[in-house]
Amino acid sequence: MSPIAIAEHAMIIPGLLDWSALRDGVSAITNLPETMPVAMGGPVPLEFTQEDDAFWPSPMMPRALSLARAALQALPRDPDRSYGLVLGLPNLFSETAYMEHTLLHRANPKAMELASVFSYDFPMNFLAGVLKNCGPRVRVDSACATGNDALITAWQWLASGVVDDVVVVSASAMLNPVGLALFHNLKALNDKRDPQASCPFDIRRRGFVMGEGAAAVWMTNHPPQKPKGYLCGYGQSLNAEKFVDLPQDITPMVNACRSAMGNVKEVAYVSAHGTATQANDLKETQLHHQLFGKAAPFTPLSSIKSMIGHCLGASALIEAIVCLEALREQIAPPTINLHEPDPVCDLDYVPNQARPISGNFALSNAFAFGGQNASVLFSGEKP
Amino acid sequence: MIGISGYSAVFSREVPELSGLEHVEVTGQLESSRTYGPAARYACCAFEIMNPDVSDLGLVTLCGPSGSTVSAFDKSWELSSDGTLTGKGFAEKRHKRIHPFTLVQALQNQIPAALSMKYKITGPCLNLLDSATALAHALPNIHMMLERCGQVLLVMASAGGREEETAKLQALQPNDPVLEGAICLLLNGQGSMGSLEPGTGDQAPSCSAAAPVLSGGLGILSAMAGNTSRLITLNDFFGHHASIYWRNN
Repeated sequence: MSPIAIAEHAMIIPGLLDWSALRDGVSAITNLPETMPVAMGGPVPLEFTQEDDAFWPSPMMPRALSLARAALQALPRDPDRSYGLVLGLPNLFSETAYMEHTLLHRANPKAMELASVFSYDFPMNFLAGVLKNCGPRVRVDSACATGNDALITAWQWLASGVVDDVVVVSASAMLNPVGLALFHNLKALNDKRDPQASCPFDIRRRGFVMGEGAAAVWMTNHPPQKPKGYLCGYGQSLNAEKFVDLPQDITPMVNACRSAMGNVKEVAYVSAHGTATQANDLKETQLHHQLFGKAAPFTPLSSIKSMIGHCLGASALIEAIVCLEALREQIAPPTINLHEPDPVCDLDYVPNQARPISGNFALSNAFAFGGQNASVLFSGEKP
Repeated sequence: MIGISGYSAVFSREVPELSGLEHVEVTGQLESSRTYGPAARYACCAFEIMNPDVSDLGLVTLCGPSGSTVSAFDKSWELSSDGTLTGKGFAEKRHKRIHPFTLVQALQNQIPAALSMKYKITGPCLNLLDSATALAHALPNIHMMLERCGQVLLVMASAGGREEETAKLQALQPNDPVLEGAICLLLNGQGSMGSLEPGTGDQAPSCSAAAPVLSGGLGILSAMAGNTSRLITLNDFFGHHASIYWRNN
């Protein structure tokens, strides 16, 4: 598989942290208002209002779309080029204001016109307008694996030559009463009021902490300068077992990772899905052993969700940027809040402090509700 | 080359343009099951008509509204005294809280998930949302998946006739009856029935039905029914358009 250059990237993540903060183990997990179903979350401290923008089409603009646009506007790019757009944006039903509005006003055509910004292809075509010079465009949704599937979609466009430049944008904004209740009632969230509630691979873990955010990446066949890195492998699979839980048989997850790695046998760093649910962290540990065998204990993996929570549909694209920065600086970001390792989680999760790494490849994994797996392999230098 | 070697479809009502075509059935409007929304159920019905070999099968799904979002939430709310519904899971009374399966019912990737779980599909999957042009822009992705898998099942499924979509669009698209259903196309490198190519130029949509993600599949099936090759123009609801070319064998 020929590597494709990643020219630029940008991210808008909880606490407005950047790579250096993640490298330094800074936490963006904070108390949520009392009106929320759980105590802790990873919010992005940005408010968006209609007054900010003359092009704002509706007072009901989805927050996920505002975050996506902010990431897109922060992404350096060449205005003279034409871009394809791959939008990684799962269904927006969970935005509380929208769902309340729909339930209360569904019989009122005038009132419901405001909510048409949640409809069909509006989010994708709105962002295409922000991007300008936009050619082909699609919207990808594989829940928590969305970011990786969006990168794979872009790689395929570029490798087939239908476009020479693609912008990938991914966003999530479920940090609201309805979004939190949906996951809390599934018992997927940690509901303790504890700044260390997001603790992947720790024996105290009891679910994930919700984050929100967006990321954008410019991929190109013609990088204008030294690129940030390369996407050089991918694998996708379906578990065919359970919707919410990870499967008993992890063969499809292994297949996705092996497909991404191709002929590469050793990686310098693995960005774990690392949600801090009981099942995920155990299965991911088993997966790591199966993938790397005797080298598993010496192949570092970490979860930045310990610092920013689980940004759901945006998480994989954020983690892609983290992999590129980790390769560039040859430093693995830490898994913070890992003070009492679970005995069944027996790997090197880079606990609490960043660590030097050595090598040209990083693997990033995402395993989604619905049983969709997507793994991608990055390199710092062209392999 | 992206060839088509099999097809099947189910719809909520008759589609006159497809009359006489085999493997096309009318199911009426399907309701949600305990776990899945109507769009996933249409997809499963269409899959069962075709019943393809799933070994080494790649899956590309183009998903419209699941059809179950508003009805799933409807079980969990009541109007609060201040006129809003916000609270710890609507209304804050335990029996009215949002049911755990509401999330599953509302996620649009439930369509590939349902197909995978029910029919044991473990190959690669790409799930695209809610636009007519997705089929045209997914051709390179389908082509690359074919190189890895040998055959790809393309499934288009939508249940856009329910309140979650019609309520939003009633001012923009009044009195336009929305066709629901699912279309399966079995794709490979040969294509005994015909092949798909990128289109150039525009032509009026060839099959009238306000169901964005179904429109490309409807265009292909109606060309098959007419035994003709055809340029099929795909129009997004909010402005963008693209086209594909169906070459009939």
